[in-house]
Amino acid sequence: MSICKKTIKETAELLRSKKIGTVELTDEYLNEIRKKNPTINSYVTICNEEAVKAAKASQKILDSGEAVSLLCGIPMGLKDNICTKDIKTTCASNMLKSYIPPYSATVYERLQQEGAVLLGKLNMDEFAMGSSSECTIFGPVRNPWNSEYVAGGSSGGSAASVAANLATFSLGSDTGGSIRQPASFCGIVGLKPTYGRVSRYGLVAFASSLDQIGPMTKDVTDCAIVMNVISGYDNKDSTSVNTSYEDFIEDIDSGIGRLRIGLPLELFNSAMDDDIKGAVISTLRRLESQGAILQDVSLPSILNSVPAYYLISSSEASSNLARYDGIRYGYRNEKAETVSELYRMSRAEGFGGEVKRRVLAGTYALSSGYHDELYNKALKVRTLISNEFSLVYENIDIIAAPVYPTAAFKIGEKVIDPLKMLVSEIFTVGANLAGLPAISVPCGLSKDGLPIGIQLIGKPFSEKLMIRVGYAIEQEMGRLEIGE
Amino acid sequence: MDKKTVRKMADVANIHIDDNELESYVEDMDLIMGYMEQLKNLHTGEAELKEANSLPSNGFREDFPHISPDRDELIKNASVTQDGCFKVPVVVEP
Repeated sequence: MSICKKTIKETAELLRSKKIGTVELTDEYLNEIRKKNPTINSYVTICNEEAVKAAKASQKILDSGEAVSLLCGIPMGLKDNICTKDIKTTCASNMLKSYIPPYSATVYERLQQEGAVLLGKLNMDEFAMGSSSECTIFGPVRNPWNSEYVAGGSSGGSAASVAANLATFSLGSDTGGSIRQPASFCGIVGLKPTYGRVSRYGLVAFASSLDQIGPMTKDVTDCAIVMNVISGYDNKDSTSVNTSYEDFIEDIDSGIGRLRIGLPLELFNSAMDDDIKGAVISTLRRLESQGAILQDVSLPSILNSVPAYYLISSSEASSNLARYDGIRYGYRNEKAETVSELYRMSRAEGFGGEVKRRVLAGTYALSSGYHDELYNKALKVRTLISNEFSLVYENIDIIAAPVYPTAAFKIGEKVIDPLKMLVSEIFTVGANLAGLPAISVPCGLSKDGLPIGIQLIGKPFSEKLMIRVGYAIEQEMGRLEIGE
Repeated sequence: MDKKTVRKMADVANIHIDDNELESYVEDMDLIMGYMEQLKNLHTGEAELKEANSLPSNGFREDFPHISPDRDELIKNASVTQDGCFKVPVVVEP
């Protein structure tokens, strides 16, 4: 088996037993990227020199014999909305095409401290607004399972790189499903942590009350390994929550016991392909045979989650993206003769169509005359959704649901209709609105041979339980690997 | 959603829209906001406004002198600078 197919845990064992060195490992990955990236288009910046330099530094640490993280020497990719000092961070937008951050995101600094090796920055939907990684100045990301299909979004590059063995793991960001959906489409594991669990410092903001960075990995154990490093309080992020340390790997294989799994009627009665429902139900039945108790639950307000999500996220985006004025950083229109013209033309030319649509929608929702009936209404719906989740969790341990109504769709199939992709996000946006942790774990293949994921949504800060259940699913269903 | 409303929103958002693009934006915005407006008539009872899931706390640092980041490093991403300042076109139009 190629070294690039191995998980973090397997690769770490090979490094420690000296069957491979970090520089050789990094070179293997860089060679694979050279071969496959022209097709898959997951990387937009490849850090050849920096990667080898980091690999050499990691080898020294491994050779010193001191106790180090499993991530030492492990090659990774980062979604291109995570700031990396002195390395371009574009958000797949013309607006930031040449932007080189003078600082690094906390998550990147933590991974660097553990000796992880950055291979490059990963393609995405522009400013994380999208569900297919087609709205990008770099061209669409192609699904490694079938290059005619999307990899999902907005963390499509992050998902595709791991699925195609072009990174051992990656980080994505999730505002309305942007880790879970591409993870499902590409047959890997993707976790959106509880809001406040992972620092957002250095994540280019889309919707600040919804955004979270999370791991995208080949298996659930790797997800736990990465979470151990990236999660935890950060005083640079005012929304970071100071919880006690947890080892997410501990007890991962201790089984599910009499786990009470809630199945939201509103989601299971929503439109979805038969093979999606079949794969999810079949997986749940396997858990039931291990002792889990399946219970129907109701989340009535989840049916209004998509409009609420869109209004809140667009409103926050319209505020967050007001900083792009063409003056301090980012794209600048050179012909403007007044500062007013400079703002208007720089933003018109710097932002893509989807970004402009959302900024306009958010501006409208927040404007006088509509603020109460749109934005404030959405906030109230958010309260209802959070309260309904809390009520359900009084009697169940975890919620299970599909991730998306379909498996991956063909490139170009949905991009022309702004509403079509949006309404499909009903399975994922609820967890963002309520700030809950949610994970996608592979559970089968569609009739076209494309991956399907099952989603678990947990109580706040219950990632350890979710990882344990995800592990149990993985043991039952096996890992999905392309070509097998 | 009509042309006048989209133009007004674009003005507030400081985004220029060409005349030949306006129709397309009106169509898209009409579709999207039409969908969003289903919330208008929703009965939400006594539900409070929920803006965030964790209350932000101000991140104060200790008040001690320290070396500030290098100015040139901080402005290196600006397209047009002069004498360590951001340079812009005329602000107050004659």
